[in-house]
Amino acid sequence: MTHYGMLIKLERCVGCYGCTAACKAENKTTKGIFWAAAIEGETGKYPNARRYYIPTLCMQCENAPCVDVCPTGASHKRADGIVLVDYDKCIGCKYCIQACPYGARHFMESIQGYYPSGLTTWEKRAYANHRQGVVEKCTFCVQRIDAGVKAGLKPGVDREATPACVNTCLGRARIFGDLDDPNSQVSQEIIKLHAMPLMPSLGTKPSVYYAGFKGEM
Amino acid sequence: MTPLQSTWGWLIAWYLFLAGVGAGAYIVSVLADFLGFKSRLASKIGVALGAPLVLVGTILLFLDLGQPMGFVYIFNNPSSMITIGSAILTVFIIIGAVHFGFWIWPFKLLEKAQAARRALSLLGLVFAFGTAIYTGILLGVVQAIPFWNSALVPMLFLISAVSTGFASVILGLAIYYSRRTGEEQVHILESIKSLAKTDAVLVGAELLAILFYLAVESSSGPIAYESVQLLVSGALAPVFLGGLVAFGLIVPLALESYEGFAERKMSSAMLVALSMLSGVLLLAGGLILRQSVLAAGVSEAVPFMIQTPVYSLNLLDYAMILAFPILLLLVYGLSRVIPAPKVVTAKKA
Repeated sequence: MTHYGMLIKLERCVGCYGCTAACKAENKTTKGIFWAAAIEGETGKYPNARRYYIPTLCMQCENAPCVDVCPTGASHKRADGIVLVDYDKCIGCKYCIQACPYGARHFMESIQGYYPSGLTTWEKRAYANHRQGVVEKCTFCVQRIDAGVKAGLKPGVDREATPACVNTCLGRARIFGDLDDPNSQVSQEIIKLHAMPLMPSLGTKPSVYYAGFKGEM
Repeated sequence: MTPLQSTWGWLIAWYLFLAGVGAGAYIVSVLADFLGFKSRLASKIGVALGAPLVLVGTILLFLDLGQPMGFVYIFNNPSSMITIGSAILTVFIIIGAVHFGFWIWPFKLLEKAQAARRALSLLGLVFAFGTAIYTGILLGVVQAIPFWNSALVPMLFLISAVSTGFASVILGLAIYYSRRTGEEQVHILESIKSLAKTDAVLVGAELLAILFYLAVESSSGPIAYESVQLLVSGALAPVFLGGLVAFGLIVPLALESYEGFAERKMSSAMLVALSMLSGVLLLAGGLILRQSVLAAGVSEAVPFMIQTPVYSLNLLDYAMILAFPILLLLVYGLSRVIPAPKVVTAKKA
């Protein structure tokens, strides 16, 4: 079995928002919607104060509350642990947005472009994969994973089969791979760095782990 | 500043409110029928308001959907409260429609067949309670919003649903009072008095439930505490404390206690006017309760959110509250225009 997961090493994150931009370029999300974002904040007091960045994305929870509350079954979890929204079934009731403690879900009120003069030619083509009136979220770049696996590549090892945010990270803060494989880099580093998911007390069992907290949140 | 919950707005608040009032009105109708009120008007008003109000609420819910035409998929996941709730609402609306159709208009088969009517009433009663409770559980199961994630929410919504149900029937009786004559008027006043007595107790219970709810939530973690702060001293405090606690509960409690328990004889015009006032205030309070609990639902996800947060009530919020008396006046006006259905009192039947 495969269970895709990610490790984010916070001490390697410089807050460049490269992941946010790479996600925008790969998934072509519309204006105001960010599947990959970051929590920005300050911690400590002068002279020990510092800014911190916690990159966020859909945590692809094992016990996903969004899947539990979805009345139509549009939100579903694949066998490899990736939580997806089936736009054909989603009715836009927004119950999953309420249920998600990680703010990973976004309601597509209307498809908005970045320019006041309306959608550009590029935007018209790029936004074709998005639909008005449904809820959308980060998919772990499922299109890259699926195409890569089909071509015999290994997600997390081969760049072609790895999420865009992982490829682009200049500090190599993100590691992607199979959590069920004890020899994968992601599994080994999670153990080595004592990595933890965010808000583990909620019992959602996220597939995204964080290492290197220094008094954030 | 704590941002308000803005994913679910006024449409959902109205939906939760109307589902509550409709279920409550139906419960009152069944109670009045079984207790053998001399005037059947209370029962009939309850049935006439019950399912139609829930249906209107359901239409509002439908309008809030991003893809309304996908509603056919709504029964796919039996572990979702929306699936369970939609099933309960559907059954309740069907039972309510049968009850209405075969008792009041167009058929009157249930007028004489008392046993059949009572059997149907009992079945409807189960689903009416289900409807009222479900609206609270819908919010109660959301773990990401600590303020909602409490067994007290369905409890509070149930009490409010039954109480506003009483208020709507009392209001209906008060409106019909001047269109009846002689003995029937006396029966209507009797009905109003006994309903007001019970409702006064319920309003008292609701005040206590709100007190317990806020007391418990204020020590259920930092996020729930922020929600309580929003209601008692933050952006929602004027509407919550003024609109709900003072004018939506305490004033109607005093009015209904006076209507129901006053030893001193009061003129019937005075009783009718007071019950109209307490009815309108209680109904507006019920709406404000739903909106306040919704808007105060601060989520665990707030630090993650990138959408522009909403920090205070906007003009639309105030307009929705003000729209309430206008809507009721409209209903009152309509009730004057549409001819009243013939009501047979128990004595004659």
